[in-house]
Amino acid sequence: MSTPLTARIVEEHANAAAALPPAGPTAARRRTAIAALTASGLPTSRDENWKYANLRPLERLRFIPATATPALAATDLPAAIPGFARYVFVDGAFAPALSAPLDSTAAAVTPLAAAPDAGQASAAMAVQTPAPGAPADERFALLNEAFATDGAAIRVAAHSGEPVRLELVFVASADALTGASYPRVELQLDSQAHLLLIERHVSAGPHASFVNSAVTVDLGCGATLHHYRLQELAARAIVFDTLSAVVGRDACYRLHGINIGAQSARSTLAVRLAGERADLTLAVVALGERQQVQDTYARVEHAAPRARTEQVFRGISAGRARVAFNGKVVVGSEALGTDSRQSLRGLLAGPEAEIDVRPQLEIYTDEVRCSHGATAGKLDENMLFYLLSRGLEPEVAQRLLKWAFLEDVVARIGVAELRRQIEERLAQQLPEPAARAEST
Amino acid sequence: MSGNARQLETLIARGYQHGFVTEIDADTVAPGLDEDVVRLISRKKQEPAFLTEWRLKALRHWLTMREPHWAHVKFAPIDYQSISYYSAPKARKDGPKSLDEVDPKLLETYEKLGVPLHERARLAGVAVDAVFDSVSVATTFKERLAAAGVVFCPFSEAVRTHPQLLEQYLGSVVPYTDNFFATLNSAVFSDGSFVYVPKGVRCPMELSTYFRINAMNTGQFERTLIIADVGSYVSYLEGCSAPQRDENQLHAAVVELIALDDAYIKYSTVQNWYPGDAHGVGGIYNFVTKRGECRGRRAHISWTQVETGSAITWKYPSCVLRGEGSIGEFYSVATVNHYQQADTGTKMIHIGPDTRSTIISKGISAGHGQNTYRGLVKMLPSAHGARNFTQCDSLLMGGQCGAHTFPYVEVKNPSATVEHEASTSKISEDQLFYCLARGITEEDAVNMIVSGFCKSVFKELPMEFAVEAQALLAVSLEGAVG
Repeated sequence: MSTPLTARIVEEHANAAAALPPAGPTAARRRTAIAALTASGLPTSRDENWKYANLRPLERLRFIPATATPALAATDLPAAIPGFARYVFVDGAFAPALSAPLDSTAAAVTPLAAAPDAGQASAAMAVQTPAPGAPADERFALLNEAFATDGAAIRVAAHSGEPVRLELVFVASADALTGASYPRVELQLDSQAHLLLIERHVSAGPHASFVNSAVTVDLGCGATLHHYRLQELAARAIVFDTLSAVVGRDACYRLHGINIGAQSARSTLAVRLAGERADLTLAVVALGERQQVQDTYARVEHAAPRARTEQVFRGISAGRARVAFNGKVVVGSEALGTDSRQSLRGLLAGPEAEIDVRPQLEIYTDEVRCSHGATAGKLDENMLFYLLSRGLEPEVAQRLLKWAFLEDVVARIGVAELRRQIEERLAQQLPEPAARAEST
Repeated sequence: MSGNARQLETLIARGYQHGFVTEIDADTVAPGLDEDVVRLISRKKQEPAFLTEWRLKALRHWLTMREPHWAHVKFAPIDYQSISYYSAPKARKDGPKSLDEVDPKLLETYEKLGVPLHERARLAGVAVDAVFDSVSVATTFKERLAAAGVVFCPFSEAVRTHPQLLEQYLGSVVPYTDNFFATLNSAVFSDGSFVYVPKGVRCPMELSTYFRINAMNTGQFERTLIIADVGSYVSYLEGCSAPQRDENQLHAAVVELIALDDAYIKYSTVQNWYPGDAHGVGGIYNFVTKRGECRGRRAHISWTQVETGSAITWKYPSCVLRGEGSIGEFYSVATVNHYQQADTGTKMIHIGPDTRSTIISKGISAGHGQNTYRGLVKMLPSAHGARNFTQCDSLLMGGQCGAHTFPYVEVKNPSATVEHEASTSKISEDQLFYCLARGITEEDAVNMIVSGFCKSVFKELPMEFAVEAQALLAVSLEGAVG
């Protein structure tokens, strides 16, 4: 699978190897990753799970990590969330000056670059980090592994009691022509640990940055993780994101994704419910306007009995944007008593917009209850009529209904201040020009 | 559940009822495929030059293609050079002029299958164009159809009698470059059915063809073309059954439907080819391309299929809804048992404004069977006000089978509406318990529940097919309660 693109990646990697710090993913792991990438190549739009993603920008990107760190002030960042410790990474590198470290013994956050021997946590994570035989859809994680210079290794100790509150802010500042940003998170929750994690991806300035993030999550028995992921990069940014998680027995994982920014975004989520009664809620909002591409692929694997999945997707596509969600639930033959529900809905708010939804079920045993529903279309005429008959302006009525449409996901956000910020952001973003076009 | 297990074992042990081979002289070409074979097929069928050239173009294109593997099925590699691409029952002098002249052994085969050509055909009001190993040997009710102006004949005959219609429409829905198996078919297709219903004509009877696979090592490459002219109506029935054998047989058919303004084509299939034995040995590979195009305004194409046979089924009867206000429908029941695999569904391509489509798919998996629904609903920017409704349900019987649902929804017009819903579960314990409490045997109860599950599809079938389909389903699933 050697293509000009992979050849160029290998070449850039060889040139950068000397400059890449030895810490973080160790040199050996880097080599393994680049070898695996050389063998498999990056996905193309001919790959079934990549047909809605925009892969063309890859041809003109540079893959070496960005080095020049700009001077940023705390005011350039999103407002802090009360009660949450904050760790800021600029172009993938830890920025202590902007951070407010955690004041707790229950959890440890170690910048991967600073970790003496790549950190214990990352050693533990090595088990589940995509290795040579990486699944086809997680190949962008290999790219991250080969190039990442820093990142956060987080470990929450067993029986942490009160939930640990943590915010990670990844700032992309470099232009893609000078270098890429490789955010990396390696997260481990020991048994009965409890973490509230906010993961934000933002831009400093209007640069067309290239961001390739990789997150690994390991939830021990009975652990609870509420994970809020916000992608609000600048309008010209390109982002590829890979999250792979393993959820243990009785563990509970609430994963919320809010995808608003970037020119072209692709998020790959792979969650394996490995322990009995593991519980997953996956709720994603994606908004697209202009010529944005927002593509999400979520693969949930039920590998143990009596696990539960709930997938909710709400996407609004305006302008000439494409918003896609491909949600797959795989139920293995050992996963008796699986309960899985998917509700995927797309709203078209522009004459040239596109919505693609694929709710997929792959089931290998009979003792299951699985259902999915998917819709794509415009706002409900009857609801609109009702609001208009109550004297609301057409524009207000439309925005109200769009708001309600997204509420299925937004209402689940448990951190009040964060929800307020997100609501504010969504209110700015709700596609108004198209709404006007539609009402005429 | 030991009673069930025993019933299941009895069922598994049961041989394929339609498994027998009629030994008749077949005029078979040596295995292999090259331009000479294609020319030979074309020459044997006395085809005009345009068709020979079309076949050759298809072959040249096919040689540049690779076998696709995106479907959710597994099979051993197929050696396309070991297949014989032409087999025809030997003609007696100039071929049979009436049923009496047909090889008695052929007729015997039909008897065994329960397809008496004359009596039952007449009683049922069905004209049977029996395709026996690629060449049609008998056609009935021709006069009645001719009186109405309907052309219903073997493809090879249409080549001679209606070359201009063929040249105009052949490959216009499924071009020879379409996909690996359709391209192969375009190069080597042996025979099939041709239907033309003229303007404003309501076809006076259900049209029916019985396809059978007979000679050893012979792939079947049927080609069916149905053209419904403005304001016409036709209902076409296709039923299949094949003798038992151990080698996998490739079947790559192509069906093209064309509906002009206000025309209505109803295409029903009951497919019961040999599925392989209880250990997954043998059985038919059914890789079929079926597509209909609603070219005119308010044209209507309806596909109904009951798929119980074949080792591997790979087919997606589709509708291209081009005409304003045209309608596409797809009703399907697919069952897999033992080691059968099915990857089936539909594509609804909405191009014209106010086009509508409905998809109802029911999948039943038992034994080690793997059943996949794969469906695409695509709304192009021109499809203003288009609507689709899709429902696909799966029923699982036993812990070793699989049921998969892979829908694709792609919408590029904001006034279009697409709704999709699906569920997967096993037979409800409550329903079963209720029936048992009323003194109904478990087997009857399961049959009843399954046939209730499939009812919304069966009601779309013509009556005689609905009866056959229900019986088939009961036979292939009875006792397979999880």
